[in-house]
Amino acid sequence: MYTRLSAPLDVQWELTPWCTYNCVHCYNYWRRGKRPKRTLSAKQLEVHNKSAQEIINSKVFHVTLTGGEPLGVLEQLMPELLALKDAGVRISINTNLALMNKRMISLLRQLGIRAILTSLMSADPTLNDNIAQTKGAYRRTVAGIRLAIANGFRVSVNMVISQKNFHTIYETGKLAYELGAQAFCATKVSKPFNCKDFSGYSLLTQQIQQMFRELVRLKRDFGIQVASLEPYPACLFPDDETRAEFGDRHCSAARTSCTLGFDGAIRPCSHAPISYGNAIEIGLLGAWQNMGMWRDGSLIPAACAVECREYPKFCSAGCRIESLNAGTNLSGSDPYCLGSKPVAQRFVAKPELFPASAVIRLLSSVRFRKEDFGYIAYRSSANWQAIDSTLHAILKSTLNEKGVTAKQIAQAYNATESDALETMSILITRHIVEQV
Amino acid sequence: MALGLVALDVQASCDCDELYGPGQDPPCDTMCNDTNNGPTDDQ
Repeated sequence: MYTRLSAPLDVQWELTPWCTYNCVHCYNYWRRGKRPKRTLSAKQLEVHNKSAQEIINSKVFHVTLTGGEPLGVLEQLMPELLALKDAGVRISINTNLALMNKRMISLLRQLGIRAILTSLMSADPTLNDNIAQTKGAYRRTVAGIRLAIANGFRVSVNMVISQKNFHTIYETGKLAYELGAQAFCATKVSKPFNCKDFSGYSLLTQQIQQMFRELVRLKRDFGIQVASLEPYPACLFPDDETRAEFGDRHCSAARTSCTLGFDGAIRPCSHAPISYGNAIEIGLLGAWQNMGMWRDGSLIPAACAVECREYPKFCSAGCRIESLNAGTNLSGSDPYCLGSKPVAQRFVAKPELFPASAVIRLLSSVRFRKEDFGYIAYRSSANWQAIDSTLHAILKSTLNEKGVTAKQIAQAYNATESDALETMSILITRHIVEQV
Repeated sequence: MALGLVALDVQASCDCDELYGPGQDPPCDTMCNDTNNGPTDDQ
């Protein structure tokens, strides 16, 4: 049955089109026209104020500040961002850290931000600066990473991989580890919508597979957490190990998240050039409703939806925007879809069950949102669970009591303790509850 | 069958019957990860 969330769980909020760098792979780069100004105008501030209210009123759990370079306008937008924080919206940020300084650290702390996703193009300073088209970009970002980590922020370093820097993945991951980053991500470049010839940047299938292997090698050699921040078709993974590491990332566009542009335009994801409404005009929920085609399966190519058994549970059929940008349309095949049965197996196992005497308690950081079917219990974009009203009431009760046992849960449903233990196990796996 | 959990088609990879088990590193933290969010957002 097709079930819709009342609103996104997460929103990527592009605070500004302005950026310190001018990266050749960035979709902003390929836009024509004058370079945008850093200072927001009164009209832009009005749009941002309305956007913040839309996020709050829609009960969005988490916002990722992005851009452009969000640190460039952070000071100006503190009233709106503090309003988000005061409303219980959790905030994280994607920034190249070029503007990181004591003042920025103070502002980020005021907003409760602890996690930073930054971008570094290469461990080779010259290559990095060439890709950023900005002299000194390497020096500034590396200094920003050091400063952020020294001040207690959790930093993940993302490297957008293109033909230009493909050969420096391992060295860049090693640098991220040496700088103290908690995670290193290598993510394939995506062709910008309005770029006619991206052939000098796009990766070959074999290069993406090699990118996965390099990440695995970095994890083995240094123990650093690794990831790749795109949903890849299951058939692209060359072996079980790379699929186990990077095959769990599904497209969240218009399903659980969306992007709110600096102009108020609301899009399924940051790569998508299509707006489904504006925060000023129809609001976030109006645009969310307009994106139904993104979540009802109608954009999934028949080769994936009908012929491949991996979809929808274990593969989200790649990226719709990759398909669009490859010159077909939103419902075409992802250009990196191999169109064959995946060679990599997906490891599946039942969750570990706890003894019947186990007691669980709701984690205080979990928040709830009412939905038609019950509630969303939300810990993070990676850890959330849809639950019914009965389980919601049980979990809420554990905040004031000692906890709840499988027997008590089973009684509430007139079911077996075994089934209740399975519920408990899944909730622990999702970091919704803890074992007392 | 787990009690009280609602299966959503927008959370396809998080089917309640089949989860990544222990022994994976990280076991389930990356399950259902959405695009564009950093892996350290939930720590």
